Amino acid sequence: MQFSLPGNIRNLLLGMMGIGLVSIIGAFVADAHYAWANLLLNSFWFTAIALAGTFFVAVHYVGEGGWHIGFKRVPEAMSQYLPIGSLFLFIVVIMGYFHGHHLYHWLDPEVQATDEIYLTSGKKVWLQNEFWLIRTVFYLAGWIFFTMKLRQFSLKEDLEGGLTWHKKSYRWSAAFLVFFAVTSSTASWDWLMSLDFHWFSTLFGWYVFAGFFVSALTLMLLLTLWLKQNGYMPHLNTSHIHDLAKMMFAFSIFWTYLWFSQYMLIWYSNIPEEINYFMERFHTAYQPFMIFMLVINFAFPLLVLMHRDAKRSYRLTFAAGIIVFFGHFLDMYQIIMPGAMAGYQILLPQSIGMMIGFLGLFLFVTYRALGKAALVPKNHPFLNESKQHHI
Amino acid sequence: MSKKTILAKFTDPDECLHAAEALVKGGVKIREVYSPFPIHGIDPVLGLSKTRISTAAFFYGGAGLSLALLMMWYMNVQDWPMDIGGKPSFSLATNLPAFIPVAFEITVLIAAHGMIGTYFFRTRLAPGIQPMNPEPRSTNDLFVMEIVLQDNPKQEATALKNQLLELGALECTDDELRYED
Repeated sequence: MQFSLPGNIRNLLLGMMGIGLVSIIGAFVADAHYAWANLLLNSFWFTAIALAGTFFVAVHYVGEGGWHIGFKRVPEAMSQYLPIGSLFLFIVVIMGYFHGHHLYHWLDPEVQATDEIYLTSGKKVWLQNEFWLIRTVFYLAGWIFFTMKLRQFSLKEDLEGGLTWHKKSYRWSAAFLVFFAVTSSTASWDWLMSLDFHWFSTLFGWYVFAGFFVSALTLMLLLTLWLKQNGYMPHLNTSHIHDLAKMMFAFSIFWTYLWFSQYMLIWYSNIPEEINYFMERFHTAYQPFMIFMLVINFAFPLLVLMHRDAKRSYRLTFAAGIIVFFGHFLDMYQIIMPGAMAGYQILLPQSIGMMIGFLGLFLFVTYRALGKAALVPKNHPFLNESKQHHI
Repeated sequence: MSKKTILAKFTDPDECLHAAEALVKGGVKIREVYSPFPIHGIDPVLGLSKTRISTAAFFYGGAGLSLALLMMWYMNVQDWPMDIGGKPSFSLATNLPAFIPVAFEITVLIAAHGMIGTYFFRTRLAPGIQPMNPEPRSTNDLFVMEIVLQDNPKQEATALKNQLLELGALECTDDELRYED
């Protein structure tokens, strides 16, 4: 079946992008620093979600999973946003490099000359302006390269069939996963952790990964449900939705596990250079924000999605998905803002507007990519397994 | 007085499932299927109701969580107040992060043991009790279907056995019911 974007959805997405554009302009007029911080948030978050689409596909190739083939084109289409998201992220990074904004304090030559922690803790080796820029290009180019390869193999398999492309995808996925395992961690140090460059946490990469993987799974679930409810995916049954909801549930718990592991050790040991990160978040006006964020990212999915029947209800999973997705936006907000903005920064309308705009763009690109290929991979060897999926 | 049963033994889970489907369609009531591992999709065929062990697990978990917090509150706050890592607020709530790992572990411990206990109780498994399973090989490589003749007054035993053999059973043996539900 071929997908074409219905006119009303197209208009809705264009409207969202319009809101985003107005918000960006408004944000730059009101407070350019805050606007850059939000630009970083949205560029990183949606790029990472697109990357998680590739990760999802690659993990299933390597694990020889077959259940997801019925909706495999959804994560694949999501990954097609990667070049566009990378462009935004690159703009943020290059502008930082040329001192167009001051989100990253350590880029400042004066800080590099005088800051004791920068000079003595070994951070000087890693946090070098040119090295940082080169790494950014390296991550983005590598991710785009693997994503395009996997997409290309998938489309060729549609045309030619046989096992050749499947085996190729298997090998390339394995290579991608190795690349991803290292770069997803280092990228989160470079773009997010270095916002608070005095601070460090070895768990940070995994924590950020868990956050954007939940966001991606949630978006995948929402898109798949939408497609199914509109009659595009009749071959999917409740078991597919159940399993996707299970993944959303499980990775929400995984996210909490990592968040808490990071928090508890720092809270317990109470070393000044570490605890400062959480002092900024829990002993300032951010406190209610943090608690709210934890409640909707942990307690909410735990209690609402634990029951089997809840995960099999399309309406409930859809509603829960929207809330969890928004919850992870708040998580990204608390990762970036306390470090990027001096002092407390309340969530302003332009921030939400920019998120809506980027979401519109992301969905627009995803829907377009969905329309460019058959909605079900025609010759995937595990296609029948997915159709028979039953739990 | 014990009831007469037929045990039909299959070597393949799919054959067992398809045979069960065919029999149920023909109006035969199957009492139980014993298998070394769960056969996917056989529950609705046999008309089994959904297990309630998950509900039980939730309550065991809740009990475990409360018990753990109560224990730590008593030990570290009430009976012998502790000052660890410079956090002497002597209160469970404000030092909660320190208590979460233990609370989590005890929740899991009680939930898991509660579930296994419930499972053993419901399946009548305990050391020294005569096993209820009529065919020991159903724990190894056989899929055994148990049909009680009294439940199926319209069926004739020999015809039923022949039908089972046609449906792929390795053999059919006569047996007696070990326990009533």
